[in-house]
Amino acid sequence: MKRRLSDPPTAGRFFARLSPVIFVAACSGQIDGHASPLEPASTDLPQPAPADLPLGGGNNLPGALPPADQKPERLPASPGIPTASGCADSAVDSSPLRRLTHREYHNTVSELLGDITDLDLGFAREATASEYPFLNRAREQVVPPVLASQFFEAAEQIAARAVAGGIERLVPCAASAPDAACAQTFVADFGKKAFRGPVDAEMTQTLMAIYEVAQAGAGFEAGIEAVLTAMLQMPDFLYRIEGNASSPDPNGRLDSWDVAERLSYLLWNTLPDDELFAAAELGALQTPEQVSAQVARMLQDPRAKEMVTNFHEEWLRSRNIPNLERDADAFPNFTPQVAEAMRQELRSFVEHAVWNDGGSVASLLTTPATYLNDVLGEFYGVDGLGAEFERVEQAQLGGRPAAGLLTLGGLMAMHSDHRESSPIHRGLFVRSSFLCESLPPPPADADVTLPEHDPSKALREVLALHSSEPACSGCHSLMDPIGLGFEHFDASGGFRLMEAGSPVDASGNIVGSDVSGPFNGVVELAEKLSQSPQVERCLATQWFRYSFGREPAANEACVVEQMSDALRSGGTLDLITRITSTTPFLYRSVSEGAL
Amino acid sequence: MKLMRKPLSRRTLLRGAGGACIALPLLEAMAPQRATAQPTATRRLITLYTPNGQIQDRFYPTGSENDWELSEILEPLAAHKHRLITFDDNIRNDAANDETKGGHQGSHAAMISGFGPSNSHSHDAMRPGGPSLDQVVADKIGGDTKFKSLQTGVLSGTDKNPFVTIGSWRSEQELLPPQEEPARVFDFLFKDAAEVGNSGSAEQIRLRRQSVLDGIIGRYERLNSSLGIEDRARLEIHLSSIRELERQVVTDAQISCATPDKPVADYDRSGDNLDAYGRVQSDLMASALACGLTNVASFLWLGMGSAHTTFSNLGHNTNNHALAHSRDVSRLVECNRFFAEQVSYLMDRLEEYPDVGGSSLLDNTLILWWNELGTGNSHNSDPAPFVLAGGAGDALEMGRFIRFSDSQQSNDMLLTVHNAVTGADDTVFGDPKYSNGPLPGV
Repeated sequence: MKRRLSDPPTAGRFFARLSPVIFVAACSGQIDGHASPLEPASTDLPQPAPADLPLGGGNNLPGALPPADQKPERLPASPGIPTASGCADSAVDSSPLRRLTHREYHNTVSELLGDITDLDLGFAREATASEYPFLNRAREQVVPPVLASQFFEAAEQIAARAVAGGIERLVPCAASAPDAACAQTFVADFGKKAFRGPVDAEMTQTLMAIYEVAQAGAGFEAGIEAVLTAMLQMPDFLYRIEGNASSPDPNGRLDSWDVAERLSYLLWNTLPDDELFAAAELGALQTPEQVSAQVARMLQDPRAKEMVTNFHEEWLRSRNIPNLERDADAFPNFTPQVAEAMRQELRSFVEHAVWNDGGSVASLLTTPATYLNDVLGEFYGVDGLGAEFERVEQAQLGGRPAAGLLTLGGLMAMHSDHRESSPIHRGLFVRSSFLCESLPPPPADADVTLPEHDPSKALREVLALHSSEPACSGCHSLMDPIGLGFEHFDASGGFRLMEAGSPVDASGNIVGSDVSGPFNGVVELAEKLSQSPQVERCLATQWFRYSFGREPAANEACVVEQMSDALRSGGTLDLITRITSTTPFLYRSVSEGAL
Repeated sequence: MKLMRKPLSRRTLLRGAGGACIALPLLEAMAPQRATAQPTATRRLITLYTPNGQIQDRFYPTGSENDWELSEILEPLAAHKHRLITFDDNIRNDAANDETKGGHQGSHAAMISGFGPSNSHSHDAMRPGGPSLDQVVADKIGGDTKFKSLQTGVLSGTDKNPFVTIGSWRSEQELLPPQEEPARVFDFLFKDAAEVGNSGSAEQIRLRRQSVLDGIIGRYERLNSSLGIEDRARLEIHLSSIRELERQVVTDAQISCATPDKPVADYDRSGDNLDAYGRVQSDLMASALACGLTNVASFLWLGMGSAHTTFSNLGHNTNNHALAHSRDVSRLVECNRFFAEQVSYLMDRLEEYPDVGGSSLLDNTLILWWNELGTGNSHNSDPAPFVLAGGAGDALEMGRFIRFSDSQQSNDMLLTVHNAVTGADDTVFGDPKYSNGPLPGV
């Protein structure tokens, strides 16, 4: 493979990659617009200050995309990039080098060499940040010594097992001639799949040198084992290296190998299948028709279903639900089995909402039903359910409101304390996960000591302190009145009619969004949010992050809009399809280096 | 207990040095090497973290420097009182106070690094502004051990902000998560050493591993030269991690020591078993130091993360974080007394290992017990509740309760520990704005 090293990376490009998609909400008592601490939430780079961002209402509020008339800093557009995608002057932002997530590593190895679940590799936890909940953010994909050591040990274990499973199955030519030529065939054939592209001469030489050392010590099988151990740690395996084309497109259009890899890791979280590899070999992933035909085929595969569920689990961090602990005295029925069922409730709901009910924002946020099994049914007070999760309409829930994702027991419990519901955290959850906003910490002089809990006082009364303190009200007026709308859910995610001896008051108010105004209860809140363009753009932004492993750049607001439009007109699956025809999916910045 | 080691190959040293220069400019710049007298015994450092603040009037000792009484919380350390240095409530963490407005996250960053956090616009996005103490020290005294440093602990938990679930980091980007599963920690530390002598082809294994790592390193170097600045910074960290692995492989063949029994797989890590779990992790860490596998360890007892742990072993049904926010002082005291018992146990274990010249491993291992907060209930970083335990050869006189005449900075606690363990006489640690020189009278 030839290396394209013509244009060395420059600091200019580095600083050009700014992503002011999310602005920190201007709160902390500074809501009057003076010295609003507007900074990008996702980068520590110097920023062009969007000083004129209005704070009074409309779409330009915190969390909204920069308005069209406010030109963000942009890269010069590559002149030759077609504008048929609809984004008139969109430039290609440089794509960061992405490492396989632990999930992708697992899937990829399992498809290459058989299931490795039983090896229980236990890799060091992947890092996320609050505004960016996904595990695939390239800039977080750092490998400290302990993870390098885990990759090393995993590679040794996997290779040893693969060889022990029968050398002829792994290396067909070993049956007749287990020699260096056969090893070289293995390097070329297996390497092409493992590296998702042809193996270059230098790599072949490196791997054969490794083969020779091990083979000289302990024979052919040891040689293959060593080669496999090395392959599984090579950057070509662990990372998604792009731009290797022998005759690179002058506009940065990706070659078919790279497109195949992008499609498979986006849609399936694993390596390309035989059909994609065959198309890559033929260079047949270049026209929009070729790509969209593959996407349509791939969406039929169960792996696409798992990917969509995984997106939602990462977006909402719902894999943490089974770890929740509640105060045993207050919630004796909140068992680990219930917590686990709550995670499954979310998985079942998402699967049906996206694949059966159209996957629109409305289906995600306002579906008046949920999915329960016997364990969770008993906890919610619904009889007659079996071990399988099935749809239960709101009318069967005994008064418990149902509004899609927003009323799932697990999410309600997650955004609570161990004993009390937490309108603050629930409000923050809505603002960060659904409105894509980030709130700053309390100001320096705030007394954040929690008041002594008085069981006769509703939380609403306790939280009223926030609105009487100017230092608190800036942020808390954004969070608390939304969170109070969820008060029919206690800290365990269960339904309640009474709190602190009085009937629950679930009236709330949204301020500082494009659907501002009062509401009563979570169903009305969900109704409002489902009509918010900001929510739609936020969900599109979440998909952008998940798809590209980074924040949208300033000059990619239009791409997010395209995704948002697709979500509005055709739901989640159309949005996913739309991603694969956007400029950043099909192109790379031409100045980027490659191996 | 330390065994003879062959010097590392020249190539490995060159690689190691190259990696350090590229990956760690900050560390290099902050901590210039200086010639110091070689201490007679190797000094070691353990930074040991417990979360959510102390209860001042039950934590601080009373009396004078040499005639003092342990507090209720520190009472479990009575047998080791002559090996402690305790302090009054005059230590402040202004690196956190000024930069971050307190909070678990900002204080966590500053308390053990001396730098205010980066990304301070949001608690959940905060990251440390500089390396943690153990990493600065490891760069100086971790050089010829198999592991330059070790990160272990008990229950780090999970949190939206991953950095509050760890106790060590090299930079904002390079977080070093603790290893918590006892059997995995055992394998990480001892498995290779155990293999030597079993397979009968130790040299073959070593050669093979060396050639695999050589090949990988070459490829990463080649790739790096073609990457943009951000990608390259990330890959450099990966590359330096692989180089460290290479050093471990080289070192493998030269280390042998009596390994402890391997803990059972799927160790019971529930609240009911916290006591035994803490002890088994302490055993492993003590063995790693005793076998010369590392000179620097960090131990994160409990993360402040969202998987808040309930000390059901103490009969509690409310988790530690919630207790810190309640006014249930008596149970919070129980938690912190429990931590003191665990520190005492670790000291017992270290004391059992003989070190050079009739000293014990404990005599030459300085434990810095730290907490991100002074007062958990109000998220206040002050007063910073440090305890020093063990010893640093003859660098520190232990067995004292030090009362300051005026307010001190937590940076200078880190500086004092740094100098005691490394033999340096630095005058600044962390952000120079908050560092005034070693703590007076310590």
